[in-house]
Amino acid sequence: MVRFVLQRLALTLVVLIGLSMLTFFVARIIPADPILLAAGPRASEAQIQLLRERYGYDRPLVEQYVRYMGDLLRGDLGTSVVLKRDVGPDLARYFPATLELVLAALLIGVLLGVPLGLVAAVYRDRLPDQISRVFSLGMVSIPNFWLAIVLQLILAFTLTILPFTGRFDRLLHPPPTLTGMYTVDALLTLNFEAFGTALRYMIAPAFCLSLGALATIARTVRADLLDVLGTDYIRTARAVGIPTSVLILKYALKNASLNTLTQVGLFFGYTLTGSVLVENIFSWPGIGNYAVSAALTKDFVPLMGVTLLTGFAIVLVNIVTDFFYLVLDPRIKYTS
Amino acid sequence: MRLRSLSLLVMVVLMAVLSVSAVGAQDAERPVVMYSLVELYTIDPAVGFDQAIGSTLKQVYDSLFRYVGNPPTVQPWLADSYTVSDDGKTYTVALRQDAVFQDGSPVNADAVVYSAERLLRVGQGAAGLFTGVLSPGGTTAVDANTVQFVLNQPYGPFLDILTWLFIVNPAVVEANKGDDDGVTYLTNASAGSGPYMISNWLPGESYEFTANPGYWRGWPNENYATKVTRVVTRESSTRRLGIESGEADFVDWMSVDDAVALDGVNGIMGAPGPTLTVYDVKMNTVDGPTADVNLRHAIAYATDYDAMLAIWGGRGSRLAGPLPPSLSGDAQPMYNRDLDKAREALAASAYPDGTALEYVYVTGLEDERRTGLVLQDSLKEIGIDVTITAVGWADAVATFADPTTAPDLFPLYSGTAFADPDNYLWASFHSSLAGNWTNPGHYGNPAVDALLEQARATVDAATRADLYNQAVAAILADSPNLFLATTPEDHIVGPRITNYAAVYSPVMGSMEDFYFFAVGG
Repeated sequence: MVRFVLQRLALTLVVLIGLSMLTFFVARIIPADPILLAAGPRASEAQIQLLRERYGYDRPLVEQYVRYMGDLLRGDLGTSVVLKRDVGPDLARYFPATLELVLAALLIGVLLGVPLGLVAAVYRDRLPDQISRVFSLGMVSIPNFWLAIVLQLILAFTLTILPFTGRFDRLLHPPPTLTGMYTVDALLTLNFEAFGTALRYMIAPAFCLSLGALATIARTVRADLLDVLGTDYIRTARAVGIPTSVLILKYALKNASLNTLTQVGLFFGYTLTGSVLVENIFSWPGIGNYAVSAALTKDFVPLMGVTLLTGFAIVLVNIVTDFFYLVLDPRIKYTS
Repeated sequence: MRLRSLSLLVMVVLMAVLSVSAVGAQDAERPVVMYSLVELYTIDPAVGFDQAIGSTLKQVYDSLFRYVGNPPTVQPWLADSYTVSDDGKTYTVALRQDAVFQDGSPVNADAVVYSAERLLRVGQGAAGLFTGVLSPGGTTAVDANTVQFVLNQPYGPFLDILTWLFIVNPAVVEANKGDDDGVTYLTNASAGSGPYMISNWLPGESYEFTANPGYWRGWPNENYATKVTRVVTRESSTRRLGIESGEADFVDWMSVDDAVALDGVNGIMGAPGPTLTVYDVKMNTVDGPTADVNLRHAIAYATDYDAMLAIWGGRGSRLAGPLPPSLSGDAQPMYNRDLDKAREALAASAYPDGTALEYVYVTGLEDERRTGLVLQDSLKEIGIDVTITAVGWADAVATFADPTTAPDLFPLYSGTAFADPDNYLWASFHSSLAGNWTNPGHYGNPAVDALLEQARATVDAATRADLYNQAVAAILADSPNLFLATTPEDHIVGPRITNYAAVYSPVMGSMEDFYFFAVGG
């Protein structure tokens, strides 16, 4: 087991180095000069040269890469040419905001998707199943940014029951930073009022982001549960008189949850990298906005930071998913 | 007697209530919330230089002169008076003696010298305005309250660019100098004497400024904004909902469609103006078919200018030449749609049977996309096929440096950092900036260069105006751009800001001059 984890971590290192090389060199092949853009239209040649030297863009590409990786090992993620500030503190602020949103979205996806799939499977081809099917199809077809605007219009503008934008009431102080995720920090410091406030700000964007996961999980649970419900051991269990609720919740659901787990793992990566539109609409200060701004201004250093961090997070979640396979299905063994 | 006592009592009570409410009004919080597309990446006056940063700098710092009103005029701010030497090279500015920094220390000549030298040393942002005009060592303190600028050569709009020299408190910068001249420190900290202090700074999220009630110049009205919060709101539909719901009092970067739709609704004012923004289509004057001056004339005569104006819902006005109306000199003959003249010019060109051109615009800018469609439609009439391509701004700028990769046709909005023809004409038509994003068509004409250089070095207003008239005439003859419209303001203002139309100033960095705002409701 320990060996498995170590092996996977070593592999993660290889993946991250590959990712860093790919991002670094591909970004720099594009014929756009971030220094020129950052210097502005009236900068003289001398001023541009000064900036180029300050940020090390006058050095050969390979040397820039080696220097970047060296700094990275020392925990220095570099400085943004456009924003003129260090990338590390920015990531430390923006990443937890997005992570909080993504985790909340996945939680909503699981909490609503699993019961939806379960009901659909139990009432196969009957009305609840049809409703669940239409609902899932609808959820997966609705673009999340469209739903975001509609929710904002209805809940914040017309009914004024949820806040418009942002992460926290601008007149109040957010909970002290422990993880950077406001709801988690509020709970850890037992500040339930702040938890409530943070939750109100999070609910609409998190719901919008959960749509894909919700619908897919519902359909996966239904299909897998139907498979399991048709197996001999379930038929036997039913024959010996085990109540249906125990049968489904205790015996069937666990065996039907492997694919759902895979979906959750996949959706983590998908939502983490695809949150930008929803973040934009709700002015959620997350990593999506940060990355897109950097991409539009060809600001390479923040882009590298975001890519490596999200890459690392996704790989880590994959390892965790693999680990959960072991827990759910003891027959699975990872051998080297 | 009883009646009199009763009325006396009523009067006393009424007066008490009124006085209490008056005190309440004076002490009341009058916050202003702005939803803005853009982030303030820094408010170091030696680094930051754009509309949002410029506006913010004016709240936190003071400059010797400041733009006020529309059309904008340069008013002394920290300056009390000034004199210019006969050769136009030496400006001597006497400072007001009552100005103090936010820490209470006086704003003196040494601080001005320090700020000017630091700007040139750091060399970013507004330093570009002073390139070739003022060199290090050119600013000296004559006495504690008098400062002297000795320019490299006479420069007509020098007072205009002084509006961008913000005075920093040398003691604060020196105490936090670090190894980068205080650039890191001043990213989100103030060393100024301005009317607002930074009270909260969340990069990429929101920025909050609190009024300094004891601001040395006082306040222009008693209902000034006590707190200003800029909330970064990248999505335009959210900004629109924000102003509609009253959550925001002020929004920027809104489309004309939004401005038209909201104007007058619940006291909202869309697109105040007139602005100093000019919108034109730059043609590649060095490479490709548009290098042929006759073809450029043909395009200028074939363009449907009325259809172009319709893009701004009747809120733009036709541009007669390269300058906005309030800065234009003598009326010059302009290009109007005349297909006969267009065909005549085409016949005289190397492409009598027409040709194909590429119009490149910036992804997401709807006005520019529609411009392409009108152009496509207009030029089809004379046998010119236009293909429309959208690219990201950074990618477009990357193609400008080399004329062979620069697009045939490229639309561009130009605002101005100072209200003088020099800023527009030099940036767009002086050959030294060919390939820069302000001159993507690589336009250059030695005669125009000479006129612009001469005008820039002239202080006498009448002589300068005459030189600019000549330059504009020469530019129009070369027809390097399609001069389309002066476009409406992209800010939309909510009903709580009661005097925006009166204090609006269209210079970059003055459109959000919160200091002048009166807040009601």
